[in-house]
Amino acid sequence: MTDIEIAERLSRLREGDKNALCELYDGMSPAIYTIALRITNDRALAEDAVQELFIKLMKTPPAAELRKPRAYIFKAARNAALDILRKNPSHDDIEEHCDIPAPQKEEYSDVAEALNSLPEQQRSIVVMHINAGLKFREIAEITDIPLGTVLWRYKKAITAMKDALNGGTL
Amino acid sequence: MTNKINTIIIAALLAVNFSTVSAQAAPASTEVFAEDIAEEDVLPDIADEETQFDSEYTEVEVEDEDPLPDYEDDTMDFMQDIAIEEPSEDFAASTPEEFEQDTAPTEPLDYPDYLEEYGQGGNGTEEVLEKYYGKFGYPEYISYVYNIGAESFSSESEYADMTFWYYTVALTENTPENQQAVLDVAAENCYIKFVDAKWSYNERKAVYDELCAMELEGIQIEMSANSHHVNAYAFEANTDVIPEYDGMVEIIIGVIPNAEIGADGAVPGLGLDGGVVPEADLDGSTITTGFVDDKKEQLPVWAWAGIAVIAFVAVGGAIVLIRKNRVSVNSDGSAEVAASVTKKEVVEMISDSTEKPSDELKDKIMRGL
Repeated sequence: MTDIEIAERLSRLREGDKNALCELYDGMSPAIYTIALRITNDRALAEDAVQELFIKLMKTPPAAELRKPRAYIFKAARNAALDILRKNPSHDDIEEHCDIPAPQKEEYSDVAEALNSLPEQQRSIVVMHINAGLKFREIAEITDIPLGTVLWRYKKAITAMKDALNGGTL
Repeated sequence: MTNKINTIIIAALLAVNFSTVSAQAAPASTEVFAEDIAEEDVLPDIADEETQFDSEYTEVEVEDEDPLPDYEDDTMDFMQDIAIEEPSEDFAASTPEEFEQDTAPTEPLDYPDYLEEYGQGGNGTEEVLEKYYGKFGYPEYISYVYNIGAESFSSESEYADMTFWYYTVALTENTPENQQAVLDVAAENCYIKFVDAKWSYNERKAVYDELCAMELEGIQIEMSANSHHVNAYAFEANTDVIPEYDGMVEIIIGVIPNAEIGADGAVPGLGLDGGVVPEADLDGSTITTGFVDDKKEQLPVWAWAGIAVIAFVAVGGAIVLIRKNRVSVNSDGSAEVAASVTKKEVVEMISDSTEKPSDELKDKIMRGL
């Protein structure tokens, strides 16, 4: 979805239009879920983050017109995922007592495994740029990191993944 | 083996660049020198040097997990933590066509080539670091700041309006704190490689001033732009008058900076002011034959052309050899050769790895409203 399309849906959200939320979900949930999944490395936690994000968007939409609504939403998604992860640092203990499936790592592709092996900062930047389509300058604003650092970490991450997928190690 | 080939290629390419740049006595100009280089043939080994950043997230060694951000707000009110975006000068006015273009991810080939070697960008605002330190003074831990050049991109690139500046900064105390102090001065489009040095800029300047005050005949003194030395250009006959200063002074024999060679190869001597002395004014006692001999010993043009051809073929062959081929054997005994993954393919694979949440999530969200 483009910034204009997102801005239009957010404007309707402020008026209480639930259909706008559905449209936002249909258009952006894969990218948002992928970002959350790469941060949390857990499908259940990623879905929790997505759920909280959209519920929050409906209940407290942004009060004013945004210059970059796409970046705003992905920043919110990243923050939601980090919040969820902070509150659930380790769910290994939970698995012993609850019937919660373990992270389905065996279903991850080589790419997903290589991504998960990167430091969180690099992984977030890669996913936000490639899966969410954010520009590096937008990522720099979202993560509050200098643009040069974003570029450096992105290139380092891609090179590391290339080496890993070619049989090396991260 | 591959790393050695990489190293050789990189050394060859950088040697070409540096031989051009270091021939100048002053720091390199701002001319663009980087060409599009295939990703496979310039892959310097990533220096595993992590520095501390004064940011929300603390960068640690690659092997360690990054610590999670420390949110003070214990509530789920993350939406309120996000500042409403203010219009930024960097963002152009919105048009549908621009947004369609903006969402396309940049291919990894359209990328600054020297970022890996020259580390990250700065946090400050100064693009011309030597000018800044020249004006405000060099800290004791800086030996020199050397601008090796800049890199800009075509108008179609995401970085069309940016110029990337590459610096080598030598520190007598090469600590993370001092590196950060330099990064806090440098602009975000300045990429810096930190190296060790023995003498600070101020120490070198003091020696430079002392040597200049001696007015050594036939010897030109200069502050080296890209090393921690003070350079003394001299001829073989008079080098013994130059104090060494414990190795700080580097004596360069037979080279006359910025001199003009006569049509017959005659080399004027150095004047006390460092200028070129016309041949007619020389009394024959200070002529050096070193430079002339060097000129006579230079290879003919055809030899240089041959070397260039050989180097080109070697680089081309190395590129072919660098591409790793993986061979897999099928159950029927046939073998398949799998091409190695390129960076472009990595990006495509990541893009294709976008996942969708479960079908039930949407209903769950709508029920929760």
